Amino acid sequence: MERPKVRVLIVEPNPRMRDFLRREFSKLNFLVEGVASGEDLFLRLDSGEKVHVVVFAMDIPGNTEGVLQQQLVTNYPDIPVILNAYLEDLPDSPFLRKVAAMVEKSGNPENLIRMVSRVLERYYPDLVENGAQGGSNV
Amino acid sequence: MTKSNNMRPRFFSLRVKLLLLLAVLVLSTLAGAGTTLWYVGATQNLFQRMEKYDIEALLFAQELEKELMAQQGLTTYYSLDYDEVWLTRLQDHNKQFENLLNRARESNYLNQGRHILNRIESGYIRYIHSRDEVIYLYKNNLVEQAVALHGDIREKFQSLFDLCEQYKKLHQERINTDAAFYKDQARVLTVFSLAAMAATVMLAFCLGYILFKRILDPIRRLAKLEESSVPAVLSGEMGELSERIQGLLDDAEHAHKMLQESRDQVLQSEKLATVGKLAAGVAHSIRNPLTSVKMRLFSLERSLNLDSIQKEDFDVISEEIRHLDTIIRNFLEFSRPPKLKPQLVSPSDLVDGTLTLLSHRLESSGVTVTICRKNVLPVVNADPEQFKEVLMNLILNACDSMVDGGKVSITEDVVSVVPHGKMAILAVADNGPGIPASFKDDVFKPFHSTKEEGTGLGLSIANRIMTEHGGWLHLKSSGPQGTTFVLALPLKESSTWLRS
Repeated sequence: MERPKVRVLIVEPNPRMRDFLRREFSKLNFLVEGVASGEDLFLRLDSGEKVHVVVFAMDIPGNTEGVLQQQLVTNYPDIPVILNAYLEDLPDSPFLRKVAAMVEKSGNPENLIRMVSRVLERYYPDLVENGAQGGSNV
Repeated sequence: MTKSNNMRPRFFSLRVKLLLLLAVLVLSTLAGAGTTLWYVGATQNLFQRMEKYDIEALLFAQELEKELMAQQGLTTYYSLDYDEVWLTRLQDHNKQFENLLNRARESNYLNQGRHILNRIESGYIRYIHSRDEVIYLYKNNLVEQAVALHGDIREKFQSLFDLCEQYKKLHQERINTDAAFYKDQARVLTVFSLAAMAATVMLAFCLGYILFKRILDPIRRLAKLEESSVPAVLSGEMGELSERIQGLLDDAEHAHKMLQESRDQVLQSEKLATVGKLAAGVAHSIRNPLTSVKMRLFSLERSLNLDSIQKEDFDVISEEIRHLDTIIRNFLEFSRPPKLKPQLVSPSDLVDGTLTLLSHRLESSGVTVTICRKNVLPVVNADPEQFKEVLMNLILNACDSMVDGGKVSITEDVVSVVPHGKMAILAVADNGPGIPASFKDDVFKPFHSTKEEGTGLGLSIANRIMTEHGGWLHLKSSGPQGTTFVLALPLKESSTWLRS
């Protein structure tokens, strides 16, 4: 029986960064989807198809004072969220404690890839273990 | 404005002068009123005595004269018609005379008067005795003898009448004497009243002069803020009032200056805020694509096999992008300063913590740091991270200025600064080449930098952080011997937060 692939949802306003991250995560056999706005994000999450992890860029339009991030962690508590943010953009909010991890947005994508793998290991150990045995780089 | 130490001492203070004048004025008025009352009382007594004794004595004398004349007339009438009715009326007048004489004796208060009344009484007894004898002769028709004796009693009558006139004259003289006494008293009183009036006018003039010259005039000048026209010599209460008002004016002037400075600061802050917003918008827009570029470069670096020249070009591109990233980060920090999280902490501990953080950088730059500390500084209310950023900025600037290494000294002290109170002072000095003279006035202005790759925001941010802590950052000196910055933070008891 073929095991389900890890589905990563990248929330990023810059299309070229979305494409770059899609390419990098695809190398790990992840199914990668990208959205550019909060509206698209919640439409995708409500579509019914499973999303294993969300990589959420804090500088997405409409995320003033982290309001979209608050809605995300409040309404979809089962989906681990990894914040990908510039340090200056991080709000002083208690909702930050509800995310699975935080990674500084920088020119080095390896930190983000490494953190996604760790979160997957923590939240979906069976899936990642199988995925790793099945050829995943995680 | 004349201060109290410039005033020459006065024998009497203003208060004593006013009290003395008021007291003399009141005494003068009371003396005048008392004298008038006494005069009225004395005059009343005088007139009462005159009315009760002298005028009554005059009336008695007149009545006695009338009675004598009546008796003399009735005796003559009887000698003409021998009618007994005249004798009866003569008896009535006789009783009336005696009654008047008794009343005159009762009201008499003069020895001389008593003597005259005694003479009148004795003379009257002789008179009525002779008169009764005359009437007897007439009754018995001894007319010739009666007429002869009747002539004798006329002399007695004249003698009694003269005594009555004498008694009247005595009391007229008394009345004249009292009138003269009254006139003397009135003259004295008039002189006294004129003198009192003159004294009162003079005292009122003195009081008015002091009120106008020493109180109202200075108050008017003070009210008009005629600093130069306020009398140079003001003592006592007016001196204190003048000093107090001048103090208030100085305070108001100081407050006005501070307000003006605050307005200038607000204007400057508004300008900076506008620039900051623009910078933040630009930086925010640039940062995201720049991150994308960095990612692609990272990806390229993994896959490309570059020769040395290509590698150098690649490194320069990466370095310039990193520099751009730093500039953007500073822009954003400048435009959106983080909120202060103050806590009680000793600046000495923050110095130690900062040097620990910078130990590697200091070592690599060949910079040695000396701390001049007599005692650990008292606690201040400060955000440790922000304050460490200020210290780091100063120390790293010093490291950058001393290319071949050097020395940095940090001197800690506590100083009282008016009007801020006790302040913790940190002097950060290096022995670098100093800040160029043309940059000295602009070191705290944003976007001014002597470094080729500096953003010109470091000292501006540091200055703002210190201001937000209620302290300041000050360039004390800079020259070929080095540069010294001074940081001041209010100690906990005098800490004032301007904003957070």
